Amino acid sequence: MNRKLLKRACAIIMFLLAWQSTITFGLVSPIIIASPLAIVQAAVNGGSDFLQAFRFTLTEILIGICIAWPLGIGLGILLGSNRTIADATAPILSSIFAIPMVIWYPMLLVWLGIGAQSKIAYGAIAGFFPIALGTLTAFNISMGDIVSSHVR
Amino acid sequence: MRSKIIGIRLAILGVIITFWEAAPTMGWIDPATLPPASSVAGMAWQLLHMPRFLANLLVTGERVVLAFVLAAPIAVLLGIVIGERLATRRAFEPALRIAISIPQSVFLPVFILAFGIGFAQKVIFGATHVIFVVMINTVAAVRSIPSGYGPLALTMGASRTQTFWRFYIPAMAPYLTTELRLGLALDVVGVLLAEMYGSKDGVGLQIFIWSETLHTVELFAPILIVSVATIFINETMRLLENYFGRWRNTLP
Amino acid sequence: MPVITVNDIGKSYPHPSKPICVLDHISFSVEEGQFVSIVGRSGCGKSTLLQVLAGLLSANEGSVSIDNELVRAPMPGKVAMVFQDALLLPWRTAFDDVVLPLQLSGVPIGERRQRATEMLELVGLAAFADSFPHQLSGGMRQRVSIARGLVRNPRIIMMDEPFGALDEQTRMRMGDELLRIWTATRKTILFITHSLSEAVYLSDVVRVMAAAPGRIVDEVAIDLPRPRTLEMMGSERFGQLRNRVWKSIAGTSIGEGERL
Repeated sequence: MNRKLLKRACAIIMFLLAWQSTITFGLVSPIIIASPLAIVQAAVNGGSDFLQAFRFTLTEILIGICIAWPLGIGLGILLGSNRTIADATAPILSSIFAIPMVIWYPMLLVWLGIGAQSKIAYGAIAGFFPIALGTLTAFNISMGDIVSSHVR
Repeated sequence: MRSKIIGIRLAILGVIITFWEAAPTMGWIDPATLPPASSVAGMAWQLLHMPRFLANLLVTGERVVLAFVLAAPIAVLLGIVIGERLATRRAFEPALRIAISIPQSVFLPVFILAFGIGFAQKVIFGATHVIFVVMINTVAAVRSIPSGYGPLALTMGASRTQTFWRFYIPAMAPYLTTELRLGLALDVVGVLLAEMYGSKDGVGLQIFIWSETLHTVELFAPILIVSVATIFINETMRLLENYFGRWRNTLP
Repeated sequence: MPVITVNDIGKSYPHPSKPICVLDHISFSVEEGQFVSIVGRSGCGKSTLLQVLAGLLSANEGSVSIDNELVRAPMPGKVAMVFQDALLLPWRTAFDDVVLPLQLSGVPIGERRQRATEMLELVGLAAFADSFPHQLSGGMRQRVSIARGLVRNPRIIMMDEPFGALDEQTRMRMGDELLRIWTATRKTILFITHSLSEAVYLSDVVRVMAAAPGRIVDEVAIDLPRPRTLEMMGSERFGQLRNRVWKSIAGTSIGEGERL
């Protein structure tokens, strides 16, 4: 087990070394991609700003999850519990899922302004559909199995 | 049963469209925020006749298609090469998994720095969305090929090429069609995102401009167009998927 | 002149401590048109031996000849393999599956369609030509697999526990089916099984294999009259033959390499 970890660690270190050397030896311009050292330095210097921003985004994400998960699972179970409804609505959900979520964002900006609400709403929507669809499918299949095993 | 299902779907669509039309018209919702369905549809119709919009639509389409056509075959090939051997799988799978867990939108600024805001950058950005998903699913597809196919093909006298095209590819076909559909969907997301935040043209830019200037009717129209288009493409690909997978009856 | 000649076959796999000998000095021959079974405990190397004979694996020592030609690779025109898993291609109908070997070798379409139809009729599945594997029962799938094996008119059919996954009833019916097809086509059949009754019932000769290392320890000629009927399984002679085979297997000790 330790040998595996060691191998992985070595691979990562070699990767970082290679990365650093392409910058140091001028093979790649530092404008395009920064060296690991420069990244660490920037993190240290601008640390607190970055952490604050990170915390803000993380909060937005978490709130979005708190909305998407219960709603998604709830709707998925609701729709999945009846065979007919599940078969009817699954394609609708998956069609909506097919729409690139990005284009909904400008809509949300117009509705909710540029504050946190629009971001949270976007995250919630983006998370909602796959969760609802997945739960619906899973619930539909397992309900089907339980029913058919009873029929037998 | 079948008619019931269609009935439910139509009912849901009916409710949504009715609400969409009634709410702003009746004033329940401010029509500046949510224009009625008819206005949006009307505007969409107009846009589809305006050369400038059509040009933007075309450019976006070109980027999406080019990114897909470039990335998908390479990704499938790489996926097969990696998936065939245990050693390569062990080596690359972790990296691939990390790659698809990272939200690729985060890298857009890097792409802008490296490649500017032109046509190529959009194509490359879109391509990266396609490549990882397709690769990792192809690896899974290769692994799903029953191990007996190799010896079976040999005893039947199949050459390597024949084994590949007649045994392996059809076995992988269901996986391939699904992952290509997903890849295309992500490709569209990538290209649109890149157009919204750093572009000189394209539907994404158009949407961005209209949202900034709060032209809601104009804003909703391309959103509607893109939505309908992507749903159409998705459903078509799904039909293909079902066609290729019709032998997969999953009853145990 | 025998159609299959196995000459001192040896096969071992490398291993950190010492090589594992899977096949040890195996020699025998099979005459044309014979039905030969190979029986032995699980893990004794029967499948490995069959794969070497079919050209799917290479031996470290010795040689196999079919029709006086050394076997280095599979010989699709001469030897057909039927595996325990029917391995029908799920996206092909029964007909398409049977026709596949002919497609691969470039037989013209009219001829190959006719041939495939004939084979499906031979195994009694003409009515199911357009069914997909998932619509067929286990026994039916094996019959398609056999039809597929026969379609290139090979001299020899090698079968690796083909009825192993079937229930007892189906197994016995399939055995009779196989004998019927064998009588009609006069092929040479090499049949691996771990059912002693099945081996005695079907074959002209039963060879017993021991494990670790894999080797032939006995050869039992089955002198029961043909055509064989299920009633024969209750006869005294059948019992004697079966016991002889059983004793040969029971006498084989559990060697180092064999896992229980």
